[in-house]
Amino acid sequence: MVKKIREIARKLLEEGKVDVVLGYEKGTEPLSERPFVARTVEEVERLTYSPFAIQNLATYLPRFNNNKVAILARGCTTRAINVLISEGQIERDKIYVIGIPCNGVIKTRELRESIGEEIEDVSIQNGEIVIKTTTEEKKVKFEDWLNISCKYCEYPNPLFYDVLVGEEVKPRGGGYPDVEDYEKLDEDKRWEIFEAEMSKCVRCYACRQSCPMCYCEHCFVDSTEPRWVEPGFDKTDLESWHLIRVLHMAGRCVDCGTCELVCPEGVKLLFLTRKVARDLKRDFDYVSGLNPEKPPFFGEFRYDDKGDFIL
Amino acid sequence: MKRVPLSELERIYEALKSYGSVWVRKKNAYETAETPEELLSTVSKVKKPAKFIFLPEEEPLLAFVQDGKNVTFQEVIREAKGVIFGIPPCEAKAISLLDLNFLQGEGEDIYYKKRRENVLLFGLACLAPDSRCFCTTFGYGPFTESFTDIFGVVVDDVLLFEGITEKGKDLVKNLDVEDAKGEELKKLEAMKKEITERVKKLDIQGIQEKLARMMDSEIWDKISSSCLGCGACTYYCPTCYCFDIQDVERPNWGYRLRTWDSCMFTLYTLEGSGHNPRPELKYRWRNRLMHKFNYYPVLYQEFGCVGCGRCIEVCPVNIDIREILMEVKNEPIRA
Ligand code: SF4
Ligand code: SF4
Ligand code: SF4
Ligand code: SF4
Ligand code: SF4
Repeated sequence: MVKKIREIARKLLEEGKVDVVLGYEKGTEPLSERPFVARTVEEVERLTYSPFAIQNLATYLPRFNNNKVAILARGCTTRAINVLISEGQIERDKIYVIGIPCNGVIKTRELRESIGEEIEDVSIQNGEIVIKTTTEEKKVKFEDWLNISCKYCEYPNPLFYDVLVGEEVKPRGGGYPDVEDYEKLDEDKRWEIFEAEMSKCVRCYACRQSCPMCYCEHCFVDSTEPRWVEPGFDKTDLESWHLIRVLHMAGRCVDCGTCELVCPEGVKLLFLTRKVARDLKRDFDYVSGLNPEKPPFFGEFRYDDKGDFIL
Repeated sequence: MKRVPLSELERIYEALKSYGSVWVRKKNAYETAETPEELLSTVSKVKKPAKFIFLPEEEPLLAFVQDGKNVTFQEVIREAKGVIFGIPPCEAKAISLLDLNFLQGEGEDIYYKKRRENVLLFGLACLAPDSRCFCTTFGYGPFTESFTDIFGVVVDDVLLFEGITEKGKDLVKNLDVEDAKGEELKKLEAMKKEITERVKKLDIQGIQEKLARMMDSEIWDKISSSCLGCGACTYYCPTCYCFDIQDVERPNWGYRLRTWDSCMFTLYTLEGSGHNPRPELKYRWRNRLMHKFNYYPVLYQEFGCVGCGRCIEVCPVNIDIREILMEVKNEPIRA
């Protein structure tokens, strides 16, 4: 797979079809497959790919609007590209999509932190992640460390591409069992979980910055005129920041999981974004990023929309 | 040097307690200890550095209340008093770098000072430098005592320690502990050599001068191309100190709040007119590196990085400052 990716990337750069290739390379941290922008044929040799590549690369597209770009894209990346097109942020014909059927990505930070020892080497073998530490070899199940969005992903294959690397995969299953479990809890318990998660936040905004949909130059949370959310860690402010972010994601979040996976404090965010996605699907039959021609969710008005949630 | 067996730490715990809070190393942050056993923490690198004690993520500076036409103001100073037990040399050095910025001359910061002058640093040698550590690059190492008030090393099941500053010496003087044994000191020397050598030292000679000539280098594009512009690297960095001050307004009352800021944020340099002198990420990355490896040395003859490697770990996209330093070093300078 990596060989094929490099081959394609090299050809694109050599023939001048693109200026840059957005891909991944092996990082310096254990379990890290980090974004990498290859600009030259030599740099192509650094490109790699693995289920540790957590960052959705569509996040970088708007900043390359003046370039011809090739991008490594899995299902959620192509959905993000669709949303960005429908919102007028990027143009499809400037982007060359190298499609990657996706087997899911791993909660790399959580896994790394759970090991608690120096990790020397990591490999994936027969459905297991084999982690060699200074003192032992640990094996964990691949499926146990899957990003929750990947676990229930309906669209692991790129929705469109200029070239596809590898065979299409079967979706693991769809649905929102995690959201349903959360909803079954009583109100106090739900609130308790919500508050406990939010209280860990340090407001570093890595979640926002890594999200392909958070391209706003001026985020509401930074706005002082008007002021939507106060600075600091009063829980009203902290919680409002997250709730409003999640609402801004309605019909736009493509459920890639990047925001939660990159959070340095391990704040759980997907139970909120996925709940909104589930509600949209259930109540409005809307799934984000499937069709770039369709108007954005909040950009469309229909007389037959359910209005039963409006007070 | 003095000695106290780890099983008898309560002998020093009470003395530390009489000083105020006793902060100890927990995985995620320094926390106040409730029992002497907690001094035994083996966490070698606390995720949130001790900076959080001196420069908390948020601190109110002033409160105001409106009553009809009357507005009353109240100054707020959050003090801290106690001992940070087990702070490693890198973090202690980082605090000495913060001191340069917050305790001198015009820049003296009363809020920082009130906490800093009442908190003792009881350092412990770092026995488990990890793969991200590059402290020895900066002319000190896992056994350097000079930035602490009291410095200790755990050798087998004994804590060896001595007072470094006057304050530290005073505290040690009053403790009921015996002198370290000859063989323990010998073992300590061997450990020091072995562990210090384990740290991967970078050769950054000449980096300050080189950077001065690289303001318009193309390297900044390359360095910043995968950066997301979040605050993680600077928030967790023990030497980063940038802050913002804003008023938090509630109905009829409010407070002036200081919170962290980061030069990696777009808003950091955004001016009221809408002009931003650092409009792109590459300029922000340039500032972060310049501040640590050029401006700090120019101002204080010290680098503004202690080589703790936290930024490498928390960065969502694993941008590695060591690689960047090497890239800068190897970049040819255009004539
Ligand atoms: S990445 Fe995590 S800590 Fe940072 S702002 Fe988002 S939720 Fe908060
Ligand atoms: S909110 Fe999170 S899951 Fe949704 S698109 Fe953004 S990064 Fe992906
Ligand atoms: S290694 Fe990174 S986090 Fe540590 S002091 Fe240097 S810049 Fe700061
Ligand atoms: S300018 Fe940037 S690098 Fe320097 S202290 Fe502030 S946040 Fe840290
Ligand atoms: S943590 Fe990483 S992505 Fe975030 S600003 Fe720092 S270097 Fe950039």
